[in-house]
Amino acid sequence: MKILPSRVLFLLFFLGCTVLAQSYFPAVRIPENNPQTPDKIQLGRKLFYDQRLSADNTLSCSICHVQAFAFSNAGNAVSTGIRGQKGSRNAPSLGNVAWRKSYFWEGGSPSLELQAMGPITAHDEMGIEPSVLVQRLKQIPAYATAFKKVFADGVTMLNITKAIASFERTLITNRSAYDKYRAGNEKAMTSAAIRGMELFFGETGDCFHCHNGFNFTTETLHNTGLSKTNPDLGLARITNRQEDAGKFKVPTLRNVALTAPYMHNGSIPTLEKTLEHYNKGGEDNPNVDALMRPMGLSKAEMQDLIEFLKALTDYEFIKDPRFAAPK
Amino acid sequence: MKKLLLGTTLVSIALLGLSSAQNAMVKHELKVNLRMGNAPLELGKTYRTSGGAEYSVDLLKFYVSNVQLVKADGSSQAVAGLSLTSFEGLNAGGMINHSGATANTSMAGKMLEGGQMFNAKTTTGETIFSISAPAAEYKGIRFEIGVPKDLNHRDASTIPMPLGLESGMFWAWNPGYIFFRLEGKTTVAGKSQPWLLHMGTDNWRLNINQFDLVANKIKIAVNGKNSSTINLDLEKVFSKGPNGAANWDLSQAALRVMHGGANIGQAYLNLLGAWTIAQ
Repeated sequence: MKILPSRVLFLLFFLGCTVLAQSYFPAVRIPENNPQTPDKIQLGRKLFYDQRLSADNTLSCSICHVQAFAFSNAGNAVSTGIRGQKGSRNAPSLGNVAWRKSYFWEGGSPSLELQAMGPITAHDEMGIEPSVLVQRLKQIPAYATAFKKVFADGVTMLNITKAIASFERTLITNRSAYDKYRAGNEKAMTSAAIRGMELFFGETGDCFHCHNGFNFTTETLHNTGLSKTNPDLGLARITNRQEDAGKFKVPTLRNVALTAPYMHNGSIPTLEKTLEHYNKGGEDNPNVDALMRPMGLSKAEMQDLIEFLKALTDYEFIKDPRFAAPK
Repeated sequence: MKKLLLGTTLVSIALLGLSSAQNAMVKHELKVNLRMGNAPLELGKTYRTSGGAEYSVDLLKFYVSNVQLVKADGSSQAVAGLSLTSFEGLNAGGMINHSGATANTSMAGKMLEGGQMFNAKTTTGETIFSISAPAAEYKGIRFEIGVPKDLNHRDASTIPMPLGLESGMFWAWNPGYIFFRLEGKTTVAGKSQPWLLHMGTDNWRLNINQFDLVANKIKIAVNGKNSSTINLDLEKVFSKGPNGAANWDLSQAALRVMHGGANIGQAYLNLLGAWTIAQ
């Protein structure tokens, strides 16, 4: 009887999100080998916020993915790992991460389950050996019990990542002013935001070629001329092809007003500066995307675009207690 | 006529028996001696690069696959299997007190067909691959430090050990596994700093060729009674620096992480020359 209310609430939450989003959000993709259950989601939530998942007990997933910032890195350009080590990439927002088709900035990971391995084991992030983590969690009675309840084989590295992925799949953001406007509330967005929306989805603003669909990303990879060279190889790190150097995945723009700084390395501090970069056409780079070109947007047009981007903020998402640290 | 038939049959049976004996599959252990120049490697001990930088080796893990025994005519006898060998010292990575065999034994679970796992207790004479091959005296051995391409890109969340997630070798941001993982510490301005070499991706599969068809100096006697040993001299890892540098300058943060670019290219070349058959 104690379990029933939370399960009912969970189902109502999921149903509610689906009903709200059903007009243009596709169904959440759940892997066959990792079905969602309320207990697994709660276990994943606990793991997500637990610093014991790092080698020196100082870091958790939530340190670099902060709810108040739409699960991005609280204004930091790059992540800081154990022993104060600085990474080279900007931690992306986890909003609607369930729908992403690949993970990491160069798209090298095919699933949320495998993606979770990266930060946990990377030497300059949480830096813990899988075998050590498994042993550590097995020795914590609450975890041993919780894992046994959810997984027949108890604590394993795969089960750790499955639970975290299950929690992350619940991080659905679809209650922005834009969503309400699309649902029929014409007062949900300001006049400036509506003008910005028309620019965004038109050839003048030209944003929609890459930031399209319900999640504002085509899931493709591009070189946006961030620098004249490509100090971070991006996709070429995987393909070893020169023409792929400096290509990175198109991020979602949902909650983008909360996820500064921008780009794969967090090198552009504000939305205004980001729009200036695109309006200029980026830097001259041998692999720069054909769509990158001087656009000639006026300051007023760029301001309208920014108002539209702000309308993608889901203030309920960043305060939703179901996504907060468990008590 | 009957005698002729009987004789022919007996000869045939004898030949079959002889053939069967020649082709009998026997076990043969491929072992490794980890060296630091002329001496056995001691995990955790402080060594110096040729440029004078202090460093230790705390952890080494690597895959062996595509093993081939070289016959006298130069052709190869393929040997199935994929192994993962771990050498883990105290406080590997500067943070973790590895329990080595205990942790790995408990995580072994279901194994990939042909999969092998070895948790080394010392750095001398430890098995890195268990060969099953027709008995013969071979002229050498070839193998790869890496995971075959067809296994390197399968779903790591469903594949068993030694390729499971618990192996500590899955490279989450990259499609595939770390093939060769070497980690330790160095001292920079009086402060201990970690260094690491993570070699992986299909382009960086290390091909080891140790055979001699001319002078016959290498003999791999596969007869079920002995083993073969290969030396891996880890001093060679830092023998030359990237971009033509004479030394590997561990005082530079960018040179303490080797998993891409010029760093991994030079480390690959350095490692190629680090393997020799022990005679």
